[in-house]
Amino acid sequence: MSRKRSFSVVGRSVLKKDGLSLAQGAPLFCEDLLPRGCLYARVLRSPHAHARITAIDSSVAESMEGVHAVLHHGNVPRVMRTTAGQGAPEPSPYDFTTFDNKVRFVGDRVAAVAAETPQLAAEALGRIKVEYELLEPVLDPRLAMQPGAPRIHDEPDAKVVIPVPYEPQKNMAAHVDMQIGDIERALDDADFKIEREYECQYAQHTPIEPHCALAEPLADGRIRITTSTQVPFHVRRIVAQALEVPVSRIHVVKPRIGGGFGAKQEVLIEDLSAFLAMRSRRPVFLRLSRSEEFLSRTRHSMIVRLRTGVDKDGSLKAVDLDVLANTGAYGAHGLTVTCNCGSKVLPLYRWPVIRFSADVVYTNLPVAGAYRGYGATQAAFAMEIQMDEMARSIGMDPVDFRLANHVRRGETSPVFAALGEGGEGTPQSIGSIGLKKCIREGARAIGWKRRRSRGKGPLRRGLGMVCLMQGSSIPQVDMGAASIKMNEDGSFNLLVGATDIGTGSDTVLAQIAAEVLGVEADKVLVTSSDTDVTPFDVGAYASSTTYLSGEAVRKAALDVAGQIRKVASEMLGGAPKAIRLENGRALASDGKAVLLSEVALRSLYEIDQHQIGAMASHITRKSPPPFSAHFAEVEVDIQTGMVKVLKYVAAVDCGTAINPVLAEGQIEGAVVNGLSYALCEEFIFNDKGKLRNDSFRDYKIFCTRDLPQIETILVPTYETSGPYGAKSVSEICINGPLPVISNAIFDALGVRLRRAPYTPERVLAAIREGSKDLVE
Amino acid sequence: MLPNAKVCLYPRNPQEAVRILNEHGRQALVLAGGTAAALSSDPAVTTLVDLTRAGMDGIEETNAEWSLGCCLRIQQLATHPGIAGLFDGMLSAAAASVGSRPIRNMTTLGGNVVQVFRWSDPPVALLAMNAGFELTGPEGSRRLTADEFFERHPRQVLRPAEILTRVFIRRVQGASGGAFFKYARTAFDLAVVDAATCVELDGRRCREARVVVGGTRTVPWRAHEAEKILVGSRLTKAVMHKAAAAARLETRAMGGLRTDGEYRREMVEVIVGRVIERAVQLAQEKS
Amino acid sequence: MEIHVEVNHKPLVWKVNPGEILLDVLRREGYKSVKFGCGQGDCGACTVLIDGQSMRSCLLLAGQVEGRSITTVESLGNHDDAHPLQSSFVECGAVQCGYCTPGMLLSSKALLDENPEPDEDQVREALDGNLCRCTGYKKIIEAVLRAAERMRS
Repeated sequence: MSRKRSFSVVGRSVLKKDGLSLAQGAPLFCEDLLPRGCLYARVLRSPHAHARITAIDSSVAESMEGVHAVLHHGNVPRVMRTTAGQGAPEPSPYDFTTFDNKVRFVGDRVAAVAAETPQLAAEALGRIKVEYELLEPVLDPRLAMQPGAPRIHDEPDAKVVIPVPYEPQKNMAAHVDMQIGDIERALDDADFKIEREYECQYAQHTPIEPHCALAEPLADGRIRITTSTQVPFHVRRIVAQALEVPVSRIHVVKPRIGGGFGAKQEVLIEDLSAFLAMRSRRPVFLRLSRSEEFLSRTRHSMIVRLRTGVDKDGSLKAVDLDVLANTGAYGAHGLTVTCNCGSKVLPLYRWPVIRFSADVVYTNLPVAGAYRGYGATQAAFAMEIQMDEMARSIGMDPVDFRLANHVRRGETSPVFAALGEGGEGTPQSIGSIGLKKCIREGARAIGWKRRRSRGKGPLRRGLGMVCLMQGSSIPQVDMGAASIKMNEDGSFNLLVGATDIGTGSDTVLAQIAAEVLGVEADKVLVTSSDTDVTPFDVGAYASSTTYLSGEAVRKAALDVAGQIRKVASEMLGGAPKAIRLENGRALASDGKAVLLSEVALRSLYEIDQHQIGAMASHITRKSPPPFSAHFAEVEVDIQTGMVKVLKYVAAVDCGTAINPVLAEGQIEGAVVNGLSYALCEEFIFNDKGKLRNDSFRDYKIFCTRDLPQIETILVPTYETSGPYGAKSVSEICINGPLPVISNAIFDALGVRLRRAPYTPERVLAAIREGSKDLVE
Repeated sequence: MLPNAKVCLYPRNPQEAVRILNEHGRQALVLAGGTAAALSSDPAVTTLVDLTRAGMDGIEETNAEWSLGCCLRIQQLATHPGIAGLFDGMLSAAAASVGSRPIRNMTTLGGNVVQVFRWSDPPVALLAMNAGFELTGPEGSRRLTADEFFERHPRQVLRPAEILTRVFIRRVQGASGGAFFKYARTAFDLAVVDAATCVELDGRRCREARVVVGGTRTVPWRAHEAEKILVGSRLTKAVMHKAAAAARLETRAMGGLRTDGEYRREMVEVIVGRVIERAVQLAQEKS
Repeated sequence: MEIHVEVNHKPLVWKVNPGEILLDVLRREGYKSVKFGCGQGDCGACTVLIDGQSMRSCLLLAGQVEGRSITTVESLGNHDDAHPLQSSFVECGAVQCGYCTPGMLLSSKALLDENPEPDEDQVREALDGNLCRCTGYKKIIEAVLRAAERMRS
């Protein structure tokens, strides 16, 4: 592993490879690539939260001129599976099939149509006659597991394919349990024991490009699917599973996509496009409308009960984290998100005694799935508010309290071994941590020590802070691979399965390869996410692309570098080991050099012709956490309850930032997403489980005028297990706003908000009620 | 989209527009900004009538009043320096709070005032300013006061084939002050509560007061009980708070997706209180 | 009916139904930079300039643009000759997934055409109708200010 710490390409803010093309509006997205003769698909969705389909008659729709295929449970095979884009065998229950004879939430699939125009498809939907037998729905997660609750998954063929707890007869989609030490004793022995309940809400990722997929039947009988996805290889496997064809019949391509954030870590529509394409023998394009997008996938809403014990000297004694997660009508990602509540939050501090338990329940509500943060968001919310409360209960500055208790380099946590993604985890010790510096620099940037200014009239100001961790990849489970080949002008083609969802991973991976090969990043041409062409990669999730796929790229590049040195040594003399690759040249120790293009020309055309190239795979052995400290200043209007964020500071240790500007972009985007989640995003259901605010008009996300001043501080450390010292950066910062805003509001008003979002009504109600903190 | 629209007509003056609407009745749809039309899919509409080429987008001043053309864009209202000088810029503030920039570029004064839905903050200011409204139809033009225009939903006030052509803002002399405020959850959102107030002082006493609330019913409304408390009184903080509290009692607030009725009523008192104070402060500065 | 428009400085005659949505017409005519994000006028992915003003093409009917000039981002520049806004966006990291980018660029262009020296608040106001979920807006605002500086010198 290289000990070199100053790099040529890594660590520079190289321009994003597709930046200029995107700024020119080039037709690179799925909907820009529709072939002639393409049909348009629409989906008929359930108006009921819980019902059996007793009859479905699509004959009129099928007979309409211009309608080429109509699908429903009567004419599509029943193949139980999960939609979750995870490695096989998936830890999510197989509780879903293409069309079932039962609907489980308002918006669940009932039928699908492909027609010549979108308007015709919509008309055809209206001609499908469906009869429902209404069933009583479960709309409150607290009631889901009560005896007598209606059973949402009563189909006999729902199952799990790895040995994990699954009790659909109790509406339990997953369960997690771990304990280290005697929790009751430790809590009782502590000087201060705090027990609180927190609740965070449904949210939707709102990628600006909704889910869409184009499926084309090819002349050779295969189907090519171009789709806005984070997980092309999982799409290939799961669509093949749904269609009951071999994987080799399916070809998946990811074009540029308009955001994912976890919503597209699913196989949500590709099976429909593929079936429709197969049946109609025409290309079929399916795009969700914005209101369908709101119902596609969401964040798990959770009720978190947290009991903690702390001594007057500030040392943490015990933590009991108990989570009730609402996974909605289907269980995709339910277990793994909830495991992350423990695994990505508890190891941050040195807890001697730990208990973590969680139930993941089904409800007849929209389906929760992967959403940036993936469980850490919901648990950090509770943990960091309670850390603040504990600090104040013993009279300690919240900053000092964190500094005293956070995990140190070389230390470990028993949680790492106990909690993986659905099973046992991977023990690891902390190899790199710059949290102390993050805290110090963040505190300085916000002016933590300054006197709190009161604000004019009804305005009150306050400061809050939090600490965070996440992970980098799923060790032992996920794999990424890369192949590199050399071209005659000294450029390289880098083929990766890794999925650039707007994050710029194509660029970051090119930088890693370029660093090894001694060239500029623009000499590395990236092709990604094409299942026929690029090697395997699990896809863009679990903050794994830089740390996992990046290492596969580095390994492949090292192999290629070795092959270049061999040819160069034939040209220059001396041992291959003595050749350096620098600035597009191969240099011998005596200073003689050849251009890489000369090496390539020789190897392709002249002597001992062969393709210089290599493929490498990587699995990680650990998931080194990035760390972060967030600070926020808020201003609350005590007459309206309105909370305004004035300034936000995020100090982040992501190891080496391979591309600092792109890393900052991840930080800032995650922070702003978290801010509107904290202040104004929520799902409003009617009493029949229908989502009422399924539009941007009524589901508010921040626009430019809502933005506070944001300061981003990168605190470099060096993670020796990561390519050039890198860890992840893409998820961690979304976990900050929910707790830090609550802490800042407490500083301003002396009241604690433990229920998100912090709407003006809730803040006003909290002010009126006063603070009722019970500290034993 | 309007699937059966076959033709779009571009009348060159208000009379031509009225004639076309009269001829086509329900099959014609007026387009100013067009934002509402685009979201409609009414199969009865065959003829679109684009009003924006009919010379109704001018701003004229006389001694007594300003006359604003109905096809002025909301963005123009928000930035026009002359309008910024009227009633302490309350109409500019109301226009600037509508939606987002592209919406302000597209929507027109006429559309905003007649539709009174979605992005409808200027009507609150206009009612407080006691604006005048000129309607033109097949029988000619008539002029309504703001109270008449907003007595019920303006769409019900308009007669068949009638369009709003101009809005008049009177000039005021002397110690007057106006204020508008939109309280919304985010910068680009429908209001939880809008409030606007115009006061005219006579020495230390309030001679005239118009206190208007928006966001709680389908049209803006005058809080008459609040006005009664202000008129004739010396405008102390206590009097202003009393007026705001009265406005709250008069509020029959709807709940909705943004908030419940109770909170909205409370906010009427807070926001009305703030605009009254601001308007009074501005009026006092001029006396 | 036939309508006459000027798109990116080019006079064109389109055959349209006047009640069609302009977004659909533009994409059909090949201007793929104009995106569908919501179709309801809330997100700004469909932003175009009409007579230099930023507007939502998903809320415009085809008949309304008769005689008007339409600007899409295809007119702004190309790889060899990028507009300062485009190069600033890329340099500042203001482009992530790129889906909101054409709309952002056009709203920015409209701003700089009318006000070559905006302050940060004016940039925020001009872009308040363009939603982005990737960047958090900070680098977009920086890019517009940087482009304005470049264009002034």
